[in-house]
Amino acid sequence: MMPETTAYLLLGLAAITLILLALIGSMVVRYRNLQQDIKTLEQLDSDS
Amino acid sequence: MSAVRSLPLEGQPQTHTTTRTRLLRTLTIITPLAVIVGLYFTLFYAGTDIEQGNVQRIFYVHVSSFAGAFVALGATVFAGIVYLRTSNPKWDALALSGVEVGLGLGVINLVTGSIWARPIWNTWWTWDPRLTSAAIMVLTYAAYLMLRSGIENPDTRRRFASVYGILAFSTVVITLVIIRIRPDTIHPAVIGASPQNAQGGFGLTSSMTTALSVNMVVWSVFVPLTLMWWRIRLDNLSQRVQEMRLRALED
Repeated sequence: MMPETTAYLLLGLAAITLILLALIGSMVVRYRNLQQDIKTLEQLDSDS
Repeated sequence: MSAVRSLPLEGQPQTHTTTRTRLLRTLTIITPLAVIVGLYFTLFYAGTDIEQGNVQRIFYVHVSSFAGAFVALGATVFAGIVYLRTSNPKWDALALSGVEVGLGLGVINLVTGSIWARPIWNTWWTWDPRLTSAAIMVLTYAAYLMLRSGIENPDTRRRFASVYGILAFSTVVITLVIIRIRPDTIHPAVIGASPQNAQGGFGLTSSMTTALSVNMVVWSVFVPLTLMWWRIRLDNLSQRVQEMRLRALED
């Protein structure tokens, strides 16, 4: 009889999704922070 | 300081930047679709293993994510060698992107393996040679990120990271070949003959081979390429901010 292991498959897929989201999310956050820095520096430049 | 605004994003001519941006955007759209196609082959196309049930399907991503890590970390070796020869920082950016993406894919490989092992080996973890070498590999590259962030001087940091990235690849090679040279491992080989003590191995049917091949392309070409490219963009943007800060200080 085939063992019922679907729950572990779903757990695996959830883990893959979480790790990928963490990797992509960290890049998105850093990208946005850097764009914010550029805006601030440009603002400082125009003010001076 | 007003000249800073006109700096091209990657120090490239505008036409190159636009073409590359278009290509990256295309890849960014294609890659999630490719992952979904891979998932379709994993969940619906490949037949179910009678002995293991549905958890066996994790193997299509488990094996492919290691292949992706191999590609990304291999790029780090290549970029490290070229950086040491040329001292051009763009190669260091490629090396760093390879480590970040390779580490992420290595963690996916490790975690999916652990989840598969629970119902098949009746444990989340065992200090098997293959599992131990995979864990050492992940820790080695995590240490790369921590150590390089602790070096202030950019040239020293890049040189150190290049040498470290080249040497660290030995952990990837050892992880890859250890099931062929250590007869006491219980980790099965999906491609080729399994070690004699292997537990949880399975024969690949034609539908399983197709599912594995599709996932290999998705996880070892599309995923690392797209993520590494975005990581390089991030590095370029960071360099631009650094330059702007320096010019602001000069003014």
